[in-house]
Amino acid sequence: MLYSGQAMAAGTAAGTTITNNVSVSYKVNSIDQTAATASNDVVVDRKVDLMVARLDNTATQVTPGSTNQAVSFRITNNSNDTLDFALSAVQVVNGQPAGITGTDSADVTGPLTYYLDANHNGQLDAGETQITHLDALAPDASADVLVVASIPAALTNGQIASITLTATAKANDGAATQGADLVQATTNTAGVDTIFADGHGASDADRDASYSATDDYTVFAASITATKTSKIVSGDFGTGAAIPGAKVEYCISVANASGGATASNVVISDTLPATVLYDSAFGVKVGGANCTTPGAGAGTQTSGVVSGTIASLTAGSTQTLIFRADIK
Amino acid sequence: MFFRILLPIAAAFSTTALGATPTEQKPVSLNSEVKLVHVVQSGAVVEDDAIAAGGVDQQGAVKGTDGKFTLVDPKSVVPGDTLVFITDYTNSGQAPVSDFVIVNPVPKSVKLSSQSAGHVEVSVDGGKHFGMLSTLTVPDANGALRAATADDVTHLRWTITRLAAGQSGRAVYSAVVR
Repeated sequence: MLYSGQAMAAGTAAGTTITNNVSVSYKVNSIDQTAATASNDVVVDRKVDLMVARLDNTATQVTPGSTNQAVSFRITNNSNDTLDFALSAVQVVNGQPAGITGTDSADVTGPLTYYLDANHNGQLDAGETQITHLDALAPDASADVLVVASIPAALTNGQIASITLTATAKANDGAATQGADLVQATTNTAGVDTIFADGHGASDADRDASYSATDDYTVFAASITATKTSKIVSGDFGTGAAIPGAKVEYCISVANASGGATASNVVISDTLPATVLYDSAFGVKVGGANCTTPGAGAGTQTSGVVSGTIASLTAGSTQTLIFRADIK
Repeated sequence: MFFRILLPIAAAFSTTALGATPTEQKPVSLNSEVKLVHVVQSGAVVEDDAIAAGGVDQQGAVKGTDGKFTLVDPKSVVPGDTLVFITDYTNSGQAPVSDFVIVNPVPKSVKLSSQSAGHVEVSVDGGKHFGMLSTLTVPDANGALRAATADDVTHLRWTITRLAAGQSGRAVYSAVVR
């Protein structure tokens, strides 16, 4: 047969005995005879092989300041024995390649915790169980594990924070606790030996009973800029000069950069200088697309502070707040 | 030829052998064993013929004819490994033996190699019927018959018409641990 090194499913269970049973029949002088023999047993050893992979190739989009954000991994036991698996998640160092695409540029807030993703949706849902390790994973079985963290409020749109999860096979101790370290046989015996047959992932080595993969958070935030302009609209005798009695129109233009998240409840407030008097007849007009088109929304003015709220500002759009005041 | 009968120089039988009666309990001696194929170079082809002819040292000192594998004691066996099942037989009696049939059940936890499957009579029904694999069928999930594959083989059978006194041979098959 042609021999190939390709990975097989978990296969025959560790400890299974394979025996070469032979029976023969023959005749001597046309008289039937029988005989049988069996060889020494071959005992199948414990082949330790596992796989850790991202549940999907889409980064988890997170908002700065959010909590309980998850990246998701699938751990598969390709060993021919039921095993426990230790879990160890670490943050990728800034500047190193991210798991899916791009470069890691931020860190999330730990401690990194682990949850069993019971419904395999890659998100932390109510009722999903926090775990410290994977217990008693059967041959060929897999489990989905979430690594959960909080997102610092200071992160900005497009930043990437990557998490590498390493699973390490441990003995199945038969209890809910994590079993002992597996030790690879140095001398093969006729009994059940342990043999590491795993490949390597993001940060581990071949045949070390471990496998690792990296998944990413990407920050999806709004990037807001505000610009204030003013123009004289009347009372200047056509000179354009800011003289006492002239009426000034102020425009605060708020832009949300394209490619980010929609900003909601953007509150604008502006304190009037003491040298001007708020024009209550004009009011505060909020929600216009630019400084020449006052919006339909209304703001307020209280004790010389003008304020207004933009309910929703999509990425790549601009809205304005416009009011007037007379120069004292 | 899947197996090969080694012909010792002293294979010729004597008149005394012809006249002997089968007084011995077991005039045929058998020795069966299992060896692990240790691949030393990728692409090894495990040749049952060569093993049967003694071309591969069972202690692993001599490589397969393509130089890519050795046979070693099966101390370290994991799924995916190839095992070689060897049965040596000798007519140690004084009389020739006729209709010498070796039946070798394939252990459930191994899968017969396709090379072995094509060279010897096999059974796909637990040893009830034997034939070349290409002539055998098994029921599929719908109850219809499909061609049997190496995966279906439950038993192997070698038939040797005549084994002279002192004559010996070796039956070999290879299989992969499931």
